[in-house]
Amino acid sequence: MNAAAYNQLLLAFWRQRDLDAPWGRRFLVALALLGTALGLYFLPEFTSALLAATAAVWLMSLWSAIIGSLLKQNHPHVARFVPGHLRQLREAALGSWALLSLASSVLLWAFVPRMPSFALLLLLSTATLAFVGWAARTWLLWLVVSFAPVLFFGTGLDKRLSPLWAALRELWLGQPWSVLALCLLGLGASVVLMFGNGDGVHREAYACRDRMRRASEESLSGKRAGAAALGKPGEWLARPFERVASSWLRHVIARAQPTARSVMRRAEVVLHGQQHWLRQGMGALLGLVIAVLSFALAFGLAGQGLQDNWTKGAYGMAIGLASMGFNPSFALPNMLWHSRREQALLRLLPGMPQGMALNRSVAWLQLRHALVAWGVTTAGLALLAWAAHDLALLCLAFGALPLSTGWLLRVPSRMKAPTSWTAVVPVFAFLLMAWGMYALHQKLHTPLVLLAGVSVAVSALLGAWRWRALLAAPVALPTGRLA
Amino acid sequence: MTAPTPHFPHTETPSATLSGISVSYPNGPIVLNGLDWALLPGQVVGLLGRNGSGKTTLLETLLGLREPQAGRVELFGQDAARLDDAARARIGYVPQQSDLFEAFTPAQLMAYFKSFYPRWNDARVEGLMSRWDIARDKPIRKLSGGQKQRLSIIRALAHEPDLLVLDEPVASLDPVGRRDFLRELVEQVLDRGTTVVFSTHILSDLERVAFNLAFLSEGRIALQAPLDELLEQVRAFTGTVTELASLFARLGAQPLKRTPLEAGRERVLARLPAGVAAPHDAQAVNLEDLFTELT
Repeated sequence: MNAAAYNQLLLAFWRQRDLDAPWGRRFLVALALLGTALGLYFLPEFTSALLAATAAVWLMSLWSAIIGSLLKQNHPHVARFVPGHLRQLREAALGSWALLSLASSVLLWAFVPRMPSFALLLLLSTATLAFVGWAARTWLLWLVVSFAPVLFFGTGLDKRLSPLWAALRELWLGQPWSVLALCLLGLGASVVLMFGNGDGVHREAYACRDRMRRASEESLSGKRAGAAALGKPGEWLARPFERVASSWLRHVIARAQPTARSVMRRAEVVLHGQQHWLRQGMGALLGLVIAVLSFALAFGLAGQGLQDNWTKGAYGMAIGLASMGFNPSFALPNMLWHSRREQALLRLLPGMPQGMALNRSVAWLQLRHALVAWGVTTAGLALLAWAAHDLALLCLAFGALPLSTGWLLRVPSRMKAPTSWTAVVPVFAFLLMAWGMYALHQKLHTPLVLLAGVSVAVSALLGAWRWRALLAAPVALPTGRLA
Repeated sequence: MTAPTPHFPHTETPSATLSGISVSYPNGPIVLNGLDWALLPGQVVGLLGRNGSGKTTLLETLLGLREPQAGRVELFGQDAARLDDAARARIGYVPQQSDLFEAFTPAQLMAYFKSFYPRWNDARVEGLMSRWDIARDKPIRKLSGGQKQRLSIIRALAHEPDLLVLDEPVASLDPVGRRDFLRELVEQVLDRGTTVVFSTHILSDLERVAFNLAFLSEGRIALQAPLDELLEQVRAFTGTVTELASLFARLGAQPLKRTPLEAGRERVLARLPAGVAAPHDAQAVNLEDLFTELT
């Protein structure tokens, strides 16, 4: 076995990491370490179990990175024309799958109390890792995971299939090692089958994955890809969105006037692309409809009333609502960066404001959208707070407001290329501020009115300071290739 | 049917003037270094330069999209950074990347741009769209590279600009596509007297359409002249330094590029004055030689 070749394959995910944006990665590692440290501090009696469980999670994350990279390396042309490459990929995947699932099973079995038998643990971890690999290859599997449990238990399939479960249980208890061996063989074969041999089906699947991978990488830097990146199912799902967006485009073109207001209304369709307020609004609406339907379905099938869950889950729902309402606004400056090539043509259009007027128009456009999104989301949060009898949920809105004015009014022409780090900074800052205000209210009994007043005052000051700097900038947009 | 309105230049004001332009990227090398350039009305200029020589930067600076660290750019007599609406309506631009506005369909793209311009030739757009086989309602992201580039060209021609700036417009086109594009370009120039500047690496196309060539080298326009004149007047000479110096003095030739050879000899590309016959031992050069030597 040529160890260097396998090293090359297995370590590619690390060697090809984004060196320009290390802070996001470091932050996640720091967060994980902090979580473990806090766990160790508060639960000293579970030290070994906690360390073992953390190590098992790290191993599974490592598998996720390795299999993602191996699938990326399984390029159809390479699979077809480079002798032995496909075999090496399969061997590397199979080896790392076996090793990582075995290691995580041993860790959990040896150090975590009240675990099931080692055989069952091994079966579960190998199955989990195989599933993660297949889900990296076929994104629809994540949808199955999201909705299948609700439907499975909600429709009573678990009860109807109970004779089958009983038979399987009987079989497992009677011959655990034989069943385990059979399952491992099947799972191992499924790991091998993840890789294509360069035929037409493989080419098509790889192109689809490549499109999604690029969309995912771009989304890390704040560029929201259209649903078309998900292939044909995505295009089908996005069709109503596209129809509404086309209708809006027809509407603004039909009512085009040689006024700055009309010009900017047309320009924003391009400047904010997939983050245009109409698409944001439709996305949020769809998210809400899915959430409401899911809750209704889940609770309806489970035979529970909504009220109790509404009250108990208010905090989680508020975070979800706030993320849906506030986060897209923070991404608007990044979209200005991503539309910079189109801006070259926009700036040459008759009627497009120039210089300071363009600065003012772009800034006002973004600020207006952010404030409207803030207002609507805050109204939703207020409703949630009222229903859940917890007005402190409004701290989420108070935390978001200063970010809306401070972050959105940066000078676009001085922007650097957005990275995954710069894309998440405002989101973390918002969550941190909201959490800080919530803590101030809950622990130090700071009145909510005072927190609201501070939020508005800081936002106004930040906004005024940024507005002056923005109007003084010579160029309003990061136009061009390398600007 | 009315005859097309000729639009030959009624002014001698240059369509574009660049004076002392210097551009460099942050922490990067100087791309344009004190560049001077002028485009006269009705001129067709092929801009030549090696990869990374700054052609795109030059064209973006010319259009006022990039602010130079030094120098001044004027389009139709106005500061390029502060063009009024009328001046902007006279400019057509085909950027190097044609994969723009990908969420739109071609029909939407044309309607979008039409809404901004006071003049729009619908008949020409429809004609070109059907002749160049572009599906009107297919998302632009699904078009081939060549189709995207053709669409970009149609968009730039649709409002009948007086200044057309094209950054490698034929890079993704097949020979038939290039021929169709060049035909449109020639018609545009002949019908309307449009000033055209385009960068390309496909030298055979330049021989078919560019009346003037500009060579970009080391951040400056090293030479600009009509193509016919260049082919007629530029010759390659080989000899010792002193022999060639006296020969050039006698002929009044302007050395363009010197390449030292062994034993004190050199090869010099020189331009002879108009009407001066080239010595019989001077070598004729073709466009490829000129590109190689001057960029």
